[in-house]
Amino acid sequence: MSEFNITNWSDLFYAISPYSFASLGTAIALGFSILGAAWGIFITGASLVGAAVKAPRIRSQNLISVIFCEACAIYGIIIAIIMSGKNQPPKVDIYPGSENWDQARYAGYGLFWTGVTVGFSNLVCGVAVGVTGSGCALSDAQTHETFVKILVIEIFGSALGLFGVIVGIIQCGESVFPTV
Amino acid sequence: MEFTTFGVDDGYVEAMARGFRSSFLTEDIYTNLRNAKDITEFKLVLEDTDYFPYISNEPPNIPVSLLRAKLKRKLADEFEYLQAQAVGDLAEFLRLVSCKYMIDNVVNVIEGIKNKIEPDILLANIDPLGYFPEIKNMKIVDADDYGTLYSTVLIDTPVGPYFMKFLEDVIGEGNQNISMHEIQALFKDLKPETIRTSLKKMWLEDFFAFCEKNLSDVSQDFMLDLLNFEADFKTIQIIYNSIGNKDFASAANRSATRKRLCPALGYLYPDCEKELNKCSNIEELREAVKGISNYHELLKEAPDPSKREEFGPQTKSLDDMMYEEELKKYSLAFEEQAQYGVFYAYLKLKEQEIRNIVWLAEMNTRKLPKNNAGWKKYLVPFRF
Repeated sequence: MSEFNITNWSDLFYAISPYSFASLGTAIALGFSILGAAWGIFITGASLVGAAVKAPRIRSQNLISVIFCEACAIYGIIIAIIMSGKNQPPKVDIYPGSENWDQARYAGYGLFWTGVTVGFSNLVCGVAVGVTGSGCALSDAQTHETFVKILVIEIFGSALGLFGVIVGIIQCGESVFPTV
Repeated sequence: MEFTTFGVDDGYVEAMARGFRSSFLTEDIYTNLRNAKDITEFKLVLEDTDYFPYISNEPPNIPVSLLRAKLKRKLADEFEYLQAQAVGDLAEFLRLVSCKYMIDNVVNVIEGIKNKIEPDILLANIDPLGYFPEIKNMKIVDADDYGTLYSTVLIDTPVGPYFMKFLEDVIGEGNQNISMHEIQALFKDLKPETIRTSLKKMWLEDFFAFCEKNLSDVSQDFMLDLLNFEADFKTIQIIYNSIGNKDFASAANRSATRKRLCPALGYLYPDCEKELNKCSNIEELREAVKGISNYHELLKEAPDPSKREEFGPQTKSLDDMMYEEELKKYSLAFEEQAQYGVFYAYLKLKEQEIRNIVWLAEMNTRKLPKNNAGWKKYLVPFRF
């Protein structure tokens, strides 16, 4: 395979295939985004269902909170598809010590940390929107005027996930595996 | 962080309880109730509120006792629904809250049997919040035979453990050798009020221990403060009631009874315990509670218990002051999400509302003049 000899731990880390990092990044991006979205949906959903028993008028409007949480999962899936697009099967031989190893490593690490960026941003975004949505449902059931005002807070909350996606796209923009 | 995990088990039940909040009567409705000319109009005003399904089938000339029973029935149904939907810690919490009403029911039935009231009337008058199936069996037991009452009827009920501790307390530890006759004699002198206070004291301590152990920090912040306050007021009430009471003329008797009946919690315990036990008039009581928050101001307006004969419907008794102070705390419970205090507060505020409505109904049926101070004696929540 190569002239590269693994003699210590740092050599071992150097020799880990970049494709494993890239795939792991895709998993983290999608997995944590969906975890955040699901978390937010159950928080807001439980309160929504309970509050709607005595105040049925809130049912349709408060589904917006659930949709905002769902948006976090959608951000995750967008990034995951972009990353999968870059994570193509190798067309040339890539091994430790070759000239394209550095570019491959850059691509692999870039995709991994893109995944972490997007995953964790969407995780906390989903939770934030969920908690706010639950408060929104409860207060809307009592006083209708508060709904739109709390919705503004939710919009700010869902912007957090958007920040993560924007930075993620920039991060994985340059992460191209070598093809020569 | 409580927000993020509370919704898993308790989100639905909490949202239901908060939905019930919108059914509280507002100041306007209370004004309409005050201005009603007779009980028929009173009932019409009430039918506009959330109570409609429960009182619409009754005759227009509804007696106040039936009205009260219907209002309590509604509260019991709502609480039962919350209990049915609750799981885990919340289910245990709600069960413990309902134990308090079970204790009240048990003591009322004991008192009724002692006074030879018909068992069916007794069972019709029990508080529906504290209903448990075994209470129907209580009528077959002889009035003073508490031992048999415990071992046959109460042993498997939720009230059982408190009753057992109470029996052990009365018989005394290590006194295995006293005869059945002496035990019977001991129980014969027991007034139902003493039983009620002792059982409630044990319940309060048990509930406090549960809250300390199982509830989240946010819930504890609210519940522990509230239970401490309740315990303090129980203590103050016991001492207040024993002042000027001819049964407790001797200081030694007074302080022994006080020690047994006052709960071992609260902000007044254990620092003020000694001074409180020594109190023999209201001034000393006011001095003893001086250190803690605003108890001194609260007691300043309390009527002197040794002049009990001068009390009338417009006197603001100690109970009224306690209700007013607690009302503020319960109203604040609804301000915080993801804690169990909202269930306890909902129950207490609804009870206060029932008290208000029944009081106004009584004032209405007695046709007292509108300038009587008793007309203003209701407390409206959420008005802090």
